Amino acid sequence: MNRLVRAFLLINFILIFCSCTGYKIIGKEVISQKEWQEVYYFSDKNVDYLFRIQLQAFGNTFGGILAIKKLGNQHHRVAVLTDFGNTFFDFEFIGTEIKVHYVMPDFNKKVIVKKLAHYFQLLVYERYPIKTVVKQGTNRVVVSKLEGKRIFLKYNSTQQLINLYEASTVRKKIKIEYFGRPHHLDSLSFQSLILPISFTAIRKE
Amino acid sequence: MKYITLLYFSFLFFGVFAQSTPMTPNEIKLFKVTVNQKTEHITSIQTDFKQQKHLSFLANDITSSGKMFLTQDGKLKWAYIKPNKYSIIFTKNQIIINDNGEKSIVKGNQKMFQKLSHVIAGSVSGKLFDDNEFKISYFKSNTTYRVKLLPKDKVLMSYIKAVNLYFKKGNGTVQKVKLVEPSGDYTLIQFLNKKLNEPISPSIFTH
Repeated sequence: MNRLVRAFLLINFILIFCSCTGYKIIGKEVISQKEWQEVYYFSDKNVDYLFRIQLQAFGNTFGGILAIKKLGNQHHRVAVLTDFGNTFFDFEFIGTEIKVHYVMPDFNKKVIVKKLAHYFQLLVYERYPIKTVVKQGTNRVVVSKLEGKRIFLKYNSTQQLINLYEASTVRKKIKIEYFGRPHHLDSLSFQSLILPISFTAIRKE
Repeated sequence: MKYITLLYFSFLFFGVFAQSTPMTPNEIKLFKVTVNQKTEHITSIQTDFKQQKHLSFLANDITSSGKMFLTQDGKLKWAYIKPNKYSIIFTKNQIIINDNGEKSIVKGNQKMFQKLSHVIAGSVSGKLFDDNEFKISYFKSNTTYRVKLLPKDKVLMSYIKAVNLYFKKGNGTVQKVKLVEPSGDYTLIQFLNKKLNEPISPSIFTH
């Protein structure tokens, strides 16, 4: 029996391994003049960044408000609220440190909290170390790492960050698309490519 | 009727938080009788509302406004109009959400919505004056009565730390509700242009 199980697992492993095409950036590698890539979408301490958010998670849809505030250097607070004003969750990010201030009991499962915190950390993280830069026509892709995870930031010809991917060596895991101007975000869309979690956020006036 | 009483109480909330002193047992008794008398004959409530969400880390409160409808049989609708169109309808078995034209139905057995529905309807109608569910204390100032409710239920406590209902003296109806979260952040809802016992079209609760 054990032999059969082992064989089954081995075949599965081989199939999975063979079916995965490693995530590669196609383009010409160029030398970067900078060590760090800054992201400026949430960089003004005087602004309350408010978005209308629609979140899909495990077949459920929730509408509400996404509130983001820069509190200091590499320091942000992020909360998602229901329209009634109840807090779904409230995270604080200082560098790579994450503080969980509140999570609504319905979501308060360790794995989910960890994932959500990481997703919103990616949104507000603003200083990525540059590993390599790849030119793709008029666009360029900055390859970086955050907490050991590979991050790909794509900029267009106007130096606007247009998307961010987190990917392992075998697959993309997270995709964020940004819409707006280089220092001003009108809306964004987030998608986990591993879990059925996604959201769109549109800036409130 | 219990929902109406609760809703009515919510409308009475008008907050002057400072300089309030505890009410005496006789004052509490009289206050309860007064509110009961005023809410006894209410069959429906419709009102405008203004909502302020206070988050400690934001420079400004998040504001919104809309209309609210409540009927004797416990149907409750909150319709936000500004800055976004969004409505949520609580009926006995389901919750209908309309997010700017996109409609969805939520199963009524979800803990979060059940608790929310209970507190909201309770705030408005008076059912929150239930000693079994809340530790209740009563305060007065020159212009206002305040009823402070602390949940006893552990599930509810994890969502809401306290509910404050503000009644303007001489008016007898709830004018403001303050829902305080475990973090200390709060939502303040002020009711305006209340209409009592006016017919509400059943279609209000269908979309």
